[in-house]
Amino acid sequence: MTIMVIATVMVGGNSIMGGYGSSLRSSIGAVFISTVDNMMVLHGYNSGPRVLAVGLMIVFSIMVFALVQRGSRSVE
Amino acid sequence: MSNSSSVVKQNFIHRLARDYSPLVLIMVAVFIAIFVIGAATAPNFLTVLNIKTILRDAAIVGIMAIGLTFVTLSGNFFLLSMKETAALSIIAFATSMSAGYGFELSFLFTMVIAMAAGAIQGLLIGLGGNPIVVTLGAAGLFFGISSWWSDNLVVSFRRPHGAEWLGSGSFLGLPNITIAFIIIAIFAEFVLRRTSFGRQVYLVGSNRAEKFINGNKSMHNCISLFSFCCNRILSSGFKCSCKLLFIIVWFVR
Repeated sequence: MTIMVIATVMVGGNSIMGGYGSSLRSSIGAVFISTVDNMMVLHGYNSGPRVLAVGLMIVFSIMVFALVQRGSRSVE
Repeated sequence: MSNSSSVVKQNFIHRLARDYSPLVLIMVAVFIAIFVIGAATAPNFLTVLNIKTILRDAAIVGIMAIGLTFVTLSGNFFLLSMKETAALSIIAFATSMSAGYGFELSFLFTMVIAMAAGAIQGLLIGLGGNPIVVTLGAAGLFFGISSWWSDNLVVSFRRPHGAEWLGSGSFLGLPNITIAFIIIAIFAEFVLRRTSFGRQVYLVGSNRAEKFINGNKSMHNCISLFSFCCNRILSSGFKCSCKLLFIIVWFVR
């Protein structure tokens, strides 16, 4: 449960360092996470691959966010 | 007239592009791709019932995530006691419901419990504790309290009870939890954008060093308080959403 919520906040695009993000983003992240989860259930995956997918989403959103942050800072 | 409106529109689009540009584009693209793949490959993906299920699941996770958003914005990402706080709230709600207090009293009682749980952590972090350690310790604390309180047993109460509408009811075709999720999301957005409290949350997050200079202790309390209010609403919603007549100590899994 905790990992799902953390993934939701991350996928929504809130900055972990603070000061950037909104609750609307978290809501969109929640819909996204539950859509992916639902689709994996419909395809017949167990809970293991589903948690793996959530973990991968956290990793990718951290990577994308770090790249975007770096880009915007170098422009400034 | 038309000129000014086009200027406003341009500004709006420009602002949107500046604030949300690459990240949101990527996210939206991925979202649409997954949705299309799901619709194409998974059977029964695009049925009304399934969409409702998705929205209901999103509400359960999303209400907690809105609570976490406040903590995240303040720069303390770590909230490892979320699950345990939710469990404590669920047990508080179920115990007071089964003791025969009405829905309103149980609701208030659970709210007080959840706010106290959040305030303790907020106070400790405000006093200078490391967020990871404080919330991890609080997780153990709440786990212990809630299993002690419920004796590791099932808390049950009979079916016609005052909180049934919360989880199994629906309004305008949407489950009630989803309605609650939407209301909470709008409220949280309003608080973040339009009140001084919300702006303080952003400011604390964007300048962590200044936070320690100003010593915003009450700030942290408020943040945690709010997040746990949201958590609590989730928990009662979660409980009834499972249409359980009883509360399992579900956090054990």
